[in-house]
Amino acid sequence: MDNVQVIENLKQLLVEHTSNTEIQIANNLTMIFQSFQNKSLKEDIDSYAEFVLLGASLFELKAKRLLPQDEEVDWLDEVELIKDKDLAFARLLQFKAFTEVGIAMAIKVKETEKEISAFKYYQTSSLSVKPEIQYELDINKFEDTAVEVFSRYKTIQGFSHIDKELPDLQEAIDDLLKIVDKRLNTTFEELLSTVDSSQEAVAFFLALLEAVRWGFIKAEQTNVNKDIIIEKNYE
Amino acid sequence: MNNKKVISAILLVSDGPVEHEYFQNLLEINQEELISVFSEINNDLITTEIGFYIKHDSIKSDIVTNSEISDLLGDVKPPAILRGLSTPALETLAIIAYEQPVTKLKISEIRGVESESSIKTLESRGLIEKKGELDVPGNPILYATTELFLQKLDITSISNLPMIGEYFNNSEEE
Repeated sequence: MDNVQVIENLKQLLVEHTSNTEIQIANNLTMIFQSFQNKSLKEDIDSYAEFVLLGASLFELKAKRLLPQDEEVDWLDEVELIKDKDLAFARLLQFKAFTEVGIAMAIKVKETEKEISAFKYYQTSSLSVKPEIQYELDINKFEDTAVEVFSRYKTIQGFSHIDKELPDLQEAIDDLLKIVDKRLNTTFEELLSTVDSSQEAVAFFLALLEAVRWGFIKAEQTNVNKDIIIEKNYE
Repeated sequence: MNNKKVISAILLVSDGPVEHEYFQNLLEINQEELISVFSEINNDLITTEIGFYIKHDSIKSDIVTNSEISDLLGDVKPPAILRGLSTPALETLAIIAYEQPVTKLKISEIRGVESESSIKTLESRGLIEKKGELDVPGNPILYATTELFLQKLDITSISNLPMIGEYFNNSEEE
């Protein structure tokens, strides 16, 4: 019966909790606390605690209603903010997860490496990668070709340069400057007529570029099809 | 012909794991018979207390040393593939393993930092490789794990990687 009375009082407080009349609220509170004083209710500590909690919750509701309400909340902004926070949190979790996974993988690899495979190519990236095109090599033909090349390479077309020393670029520059010094002007084509091989021609051309860069000579080609005219730089 | 002799000799001289299909074609036996030969050889090796055995899965087999003598192999043991690797490099490896094929940008996004050096290190160790380009402007390079990575994790395919959650279940149990 006493419990019923307390519940009735709480109900009354709930019904009137939106009221701003202080007298009404004070009356309700007095009634509730009077019913709490009941002896049999005090003996039932669980019920007593629940009623106190109910009362406290109702006052909390009331207190919240009295707070000023912000009517102009931009919920889209709020949602975006929550989304950003969630994303950041998800990324943090993802990152933390991968850190843990990386360490777990390392432990697993360490365990696996206790059994050492008999194969020879450790840490080779292309170990299992098969070439897309496979060339069949005839070992006998390959050997014959090698013997022929190394025994008479000078007579085989395309191999005559094998033992030829490459021309020295400094020498080529010196030679070029000597020739240019003796003549008022000359052309690159004339210079090329004095060389014996394509390697020397390349060296001469590089020498020409270097000499122009250093300002020793001037070189001019008015047209792609015309000769390169070279003369000493007197400036 | 004694299949045990042939299989053990081939595994000894091969440049890596041998696929079951190769033995099946060579010796005209089925997979069940082949696995049975592996077991026979392994029993012989255990009986004679030899320090290696034939390790096999559903696709391939190889000769490997017994794990219990690993510490006694000393200098003849090849260097560990993860030696000196930092935690960031391991993170990067985990990301590539689970997100592959993946671009450098995506890896950096997940980690929140530049991952160039980690990728280079992992590539030089043969654990990851370039696997094509993404068909978007700039054509960023896609990275994926290698066959060596699978071997080192003792799995046959990326699909055999444990679910990420499994790592955490185990760690909780420990």
